[in-house]
Amino acid sequence: MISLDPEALFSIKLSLKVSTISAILVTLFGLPVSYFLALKKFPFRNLVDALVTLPLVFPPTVTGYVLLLLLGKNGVIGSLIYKFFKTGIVFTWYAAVVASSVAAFPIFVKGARAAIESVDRNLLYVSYTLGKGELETFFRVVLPLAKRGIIAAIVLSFARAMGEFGATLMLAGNIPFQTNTIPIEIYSAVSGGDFEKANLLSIVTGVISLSILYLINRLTNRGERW
Amino acid sequence: MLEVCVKKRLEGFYLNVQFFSKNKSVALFAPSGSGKSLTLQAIAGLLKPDEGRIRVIDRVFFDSNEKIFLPPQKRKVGYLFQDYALFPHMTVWENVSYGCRDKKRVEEVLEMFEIQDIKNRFPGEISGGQRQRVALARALAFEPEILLLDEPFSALHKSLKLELYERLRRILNEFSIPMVLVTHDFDEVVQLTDYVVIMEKGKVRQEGNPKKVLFNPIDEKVAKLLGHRSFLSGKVVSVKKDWVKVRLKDRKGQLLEAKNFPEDLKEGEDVFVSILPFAVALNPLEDSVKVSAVIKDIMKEKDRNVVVLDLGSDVVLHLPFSLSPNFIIEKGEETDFYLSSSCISVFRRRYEKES
Repeated sequence: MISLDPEALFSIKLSLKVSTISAILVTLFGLPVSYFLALKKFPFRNLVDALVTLPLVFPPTVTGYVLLLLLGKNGVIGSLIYKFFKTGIVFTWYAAVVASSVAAFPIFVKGARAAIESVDRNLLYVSYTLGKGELETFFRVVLPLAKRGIIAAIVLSFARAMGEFGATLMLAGNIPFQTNTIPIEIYSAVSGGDFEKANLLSIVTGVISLSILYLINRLTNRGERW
Repeated sequence: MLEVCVKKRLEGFYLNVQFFSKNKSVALFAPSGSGKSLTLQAIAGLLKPDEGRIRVIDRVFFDSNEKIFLPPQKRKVGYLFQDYALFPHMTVWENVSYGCRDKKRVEEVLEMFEIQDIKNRFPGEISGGQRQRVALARALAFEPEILLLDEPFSALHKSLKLELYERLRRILNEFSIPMVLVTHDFDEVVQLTDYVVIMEKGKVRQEGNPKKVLFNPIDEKVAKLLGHRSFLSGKVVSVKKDWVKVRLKDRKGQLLEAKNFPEDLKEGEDVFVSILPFAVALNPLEDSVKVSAVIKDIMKEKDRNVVVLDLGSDVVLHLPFSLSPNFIIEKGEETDFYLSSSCISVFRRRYEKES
């Protein structure tokens, strides 16, 4: 019977934990951003749009490096964290969450924004003329109608977080039983010659990815079973 | 009753609309792309004008001088969109009750529109006419103080339209609320409203009583919008209180009497004469003028002949079959026609420059 060593098992649990938290964070922050980008005109809209999309086009290592500069002991944000919490997040599993979230954010926003844009604008107008404010309109009209697209975006951002490697390595490092997510574990296994472990972890990743793709298809093609 | 003054600069379009109506039901009549839907949106508060003032009865919705902008939520307008904009994820009942918490009232409105049988169905499962009724019911359940209708009948079949006109008239009476109707069908204007505002390229070109406007367009552009098709040039020969005489510039220089003309028309002015397609006199003895003209063409339609006469320019006339058995009129022959002078309009050529 083939079995995984505790370190590999830890990496699977860590990856699931990091990706789930990332997906939640990305949804919470991404939904308002998507709403504003989809429906509002505001100054520097294009700039915000570009900033949000940046991690998608940046090499992940560069993203990771920029994050390291920002969040490190002497970084703008990092120094504040040190001041208040007396500890840093760089090279902890929190850093893996940050790296995954930043990488997954644009993917979520792209999808959620398209879903919100596809809601007929007149439906919002009707809701406003019927006395409903923007927040109520969002929850009763926009969200139900954009639901499928938004869920698909959440799933995709979860998948992106699962596969995050470059930025995570830069920001969280490769510390066994601390920051070794699946992709990083596979990388160390292969560089250490442990191909059996790499194979197993790859299969695990494959199963997770396939389930995700299947889930998306189920969500986007209504009615069809397979 | 309704005061609208809206100035809004948009990309490639300048909306500059001003009108005032004491009447209850007003039509905004214009070809598409003239800004009539934008005007409606401004009244509803969905579009914020750069400048202007909007008042409905005694409520000021917008005033740029006094910095008043009532948000759409506070205006109490019933807005009916062209595609009805029903919430697709809600049942008919949920749609109608969206703006109205009072369940009893929702039931009443459902009953009034005869849609209580379909209240548990979704908009995708009902017919176009039913959808329109649901949309109207939803707007009225909210107890609006003004009804805004954006081409509500354009997607519907003709036979259905007449029924809906009747229903709408009844509702307006019952609820006693003013209405603004956006349309490009003048038939609707005449049937449903008593004041029309004619727009073109974001500006008001003419306003007034629909029937009066129909027969007295200010120029040929407006005339064309209203369905005038035959324009003849002529010179005013004499002006009386109720009628004018115009000498046409056709071969014979025939005289035409017209009952519709600008009040300040003077003798000797060069004008356009429009003969409406339905100008053939029902009673040749009363108010009719005789013209003789060569028939250039005859086209058969479902219930009438459409003849084209040569009176200097082409004149199109509709002749019911009962008035024109085929053996009486023939292509190429000179024939006498009696036209009703109250269906003949005289107006000036457009002289003002586009600003």
